[in-house]
Amino acid sequence: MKKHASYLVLVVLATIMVVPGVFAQGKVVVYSTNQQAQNDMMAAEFEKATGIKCEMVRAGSGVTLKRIRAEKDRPLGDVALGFSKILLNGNLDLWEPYKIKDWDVYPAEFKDPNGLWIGQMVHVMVFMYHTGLVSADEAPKTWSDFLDPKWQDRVAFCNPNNSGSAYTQLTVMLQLWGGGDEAWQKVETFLKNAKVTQQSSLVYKGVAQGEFPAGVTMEYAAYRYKKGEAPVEVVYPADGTVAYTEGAAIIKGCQNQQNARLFLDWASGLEARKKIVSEFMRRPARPDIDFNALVPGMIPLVQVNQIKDYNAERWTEERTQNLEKVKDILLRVK
Amino acid sequence: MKNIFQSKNLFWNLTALLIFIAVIYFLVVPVSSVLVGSFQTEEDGAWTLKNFLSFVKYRTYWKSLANSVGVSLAASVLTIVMAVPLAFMVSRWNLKGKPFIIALSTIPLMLPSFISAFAWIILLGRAGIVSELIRSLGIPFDSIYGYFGVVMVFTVQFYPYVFLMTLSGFNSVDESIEEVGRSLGTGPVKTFIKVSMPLVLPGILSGTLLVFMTAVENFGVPMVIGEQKPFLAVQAYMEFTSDIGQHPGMAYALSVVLIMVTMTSLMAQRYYLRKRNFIQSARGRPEIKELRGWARRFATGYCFTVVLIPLIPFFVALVISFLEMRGPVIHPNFSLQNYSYAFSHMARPIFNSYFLATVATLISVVIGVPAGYILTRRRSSIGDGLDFAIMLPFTIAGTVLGIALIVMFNTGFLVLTGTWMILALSYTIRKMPFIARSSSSILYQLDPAMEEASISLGVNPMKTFFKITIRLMSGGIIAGAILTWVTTISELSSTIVLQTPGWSTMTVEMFQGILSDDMGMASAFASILIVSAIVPLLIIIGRFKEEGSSLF
Repeated sequence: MKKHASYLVLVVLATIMVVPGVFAQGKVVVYSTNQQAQNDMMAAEFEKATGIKCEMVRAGSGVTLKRIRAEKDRPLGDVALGFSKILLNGNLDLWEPYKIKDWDVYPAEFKDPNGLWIGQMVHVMVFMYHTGLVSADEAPKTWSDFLDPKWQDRVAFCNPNNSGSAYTQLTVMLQLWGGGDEAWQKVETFLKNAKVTQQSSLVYKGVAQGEFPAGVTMEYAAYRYKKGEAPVEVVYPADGTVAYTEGAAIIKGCQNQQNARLFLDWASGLEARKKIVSEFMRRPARPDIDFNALVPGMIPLVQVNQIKDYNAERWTEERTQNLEKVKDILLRVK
Repeated sequence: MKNIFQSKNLFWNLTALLIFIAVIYFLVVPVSSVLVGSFQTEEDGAWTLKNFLSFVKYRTYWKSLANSVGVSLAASVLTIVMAVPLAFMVSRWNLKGKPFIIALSTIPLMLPSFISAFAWIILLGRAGIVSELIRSLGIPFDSIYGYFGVVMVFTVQFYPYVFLMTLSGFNSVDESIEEVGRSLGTGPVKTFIKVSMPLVLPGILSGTLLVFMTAVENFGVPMVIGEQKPFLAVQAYMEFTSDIGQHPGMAYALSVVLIMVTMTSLMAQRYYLRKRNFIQSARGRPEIKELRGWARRFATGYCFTVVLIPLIPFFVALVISFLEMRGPVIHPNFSLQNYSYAFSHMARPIFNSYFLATVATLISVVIGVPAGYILTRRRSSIGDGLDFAIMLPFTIAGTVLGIALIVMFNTGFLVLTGTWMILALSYTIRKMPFIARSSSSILYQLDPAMEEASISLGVNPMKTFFKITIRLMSGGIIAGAILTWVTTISELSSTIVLQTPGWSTMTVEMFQGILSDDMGMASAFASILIVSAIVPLLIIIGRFKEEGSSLF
């Protein structure tokens, strides 16, 4: 009996070891930076729509990019999902060109002209505050509000050296305040007032828990807490802000090329985008979705005060030196 | 005579050679790519000192080095204060529920530090439940953020290293030595300090070394609780993984600095142990002191309190796991939604966690025990070299090591990526130090005379090792194996990089939950993991207690 039992265990083990390899056909492996619940939903819906098994591997974008690069001679993933436009553009050698089915629906700013990547969603930089700690009158309305000493230690901001979205937030301030020495003076005042966190998630999490009265964060994160009935409010900065594009790409030389294309077609499609914005508050890059009814309070992009002369090229180019400056300032004021 | 020594050398030289080859191929080569990377530019791989010069130039890095070392030293000292008396009581007094105390003490190592950091914030953050309670009593208290909090969390999270290593040490002290002390008129306290302590010192130092190294390498706790203060491991992690301004070269350089810090501590430990002789010849199991009535209850109560306080984060997770979640927001209503999600997603990750941890532990024992023997008994340049080589990966951030393993094993004649074997390999590399250290600290206490007697009676060295040495070492081996097993289960940083579809682990699932701001799901996973791990731990501990192993 004992012998039989151990054989059984061996057979079960062997099956489990091998199973992921057996169904190599009819699958797609997606390296995603999005939240797990969204990955689960997308995998299930895609499987339902196409019959292709979708396997999600989740990690942060910095780590995933390193992994894709380390695996480039024998790629193990097929699709890279949830990467900022800056990262997608900075690693064009890793992507396989493909123009999705709805290619023409997407505005030029949300896609690579050669189809190396396609925009999926847009993140607007917003303020978020805890309604138990900050009254509506007191609430921050503009970026300059945070320069006031009354915000000393009361506004959370992620270290731009650690997060692409925080760097974008920094450049919004620099752009608004003229971009020169005077702007840096103000940034220093802002950083002096701010509680600087090491990760962007600590900002919205902290505001929702009441650890910080207010914070600078991304639209979808703030709305998720609002929808979950946390005591928070979202503010679109009155003096202007910037939207940050997040997209997807097919990994060059991947093993399931055809399925990867089907996945991108589906993920960029109308139905998937509608579901993602209503369940996960992620503003779609495609302009043909009316999400007012889906997410109360989320205004259409055209109504957001976006900085007209935001100089994206300059800020990408100056990134290294700007981050150095932030490091210096933090060392001085913290 | 000559013949015997020759064959002794043959067996051990051969073993050392095999271990060396494995260590060099699977460990030194991937790790040295990190060392090489620290001297290269990111753009074209040209040789440069730029990364180390930036380290010297920026005060942030110096400050983070000072912070990391300071906080880790403080935590190391506090763990001794916390764990050594505990180990003594558990070893020498007739406390109730000893297997429970030991099993509970291992749990902090199983709970990933990012979970406990968040749990402590929920209690002792600025808006923490306990913080507000303290303030409502009129006591001025802000929060746990800062150096104090990091030291505190490190202490309660990492004390099991010292506890388990010291416990096996106390159990292996020959009672006759203590008796001699007492019969010469020395009081029990003085006997403890003058006689017992020096004998368990190798165990204490090995445990403390592990605490120090783990604390220096940990980034989850300082990232959340250290808040605005810079720490070396956080800097290295961020330079490597942030989605902006990545400087892998700088991350490698910081890793090298981390390696130097830990190597220094390792050398200090070896130097200290080498100057002393801890060896005792005979081995009788020390006598258990029979406490009665209130004394026994009080001592038992004290020990349970000490092992339960570090479990507070787990209780927080347990409570949260039964609360309702609306998106990322916790609402104080009873709900089973987290478990209905967890149970539908859990089968594979929980199997993976236990399977990988067990495989890695077994391989670590097979390689680590002889390695521990070589580095203690054969105090030579071989021992030194092996000791350093085995400890190297302990201090390299898992993410960095993970990428190095992908580069090495994605193509070529040994392809491991995309399978579970790459995970098992990474775990073995990273956790083997526990076995090697605990085996070696036990060996410091054992007199080689017994092995030599066996050999001179004609038993060959291999048989001697398996029949005699291993039995004498068993307490240390089991302590090390338990440490390997529980810490492998909580391994995250390399799993994130190496996991393939179907091979995610419980810790990864928890981390995803936290990252996706789903505390409920993460808490449910944490609760299931710990409750399910307690059973095998109790069985193992109970069984070895029956067999009279020196661990318990």
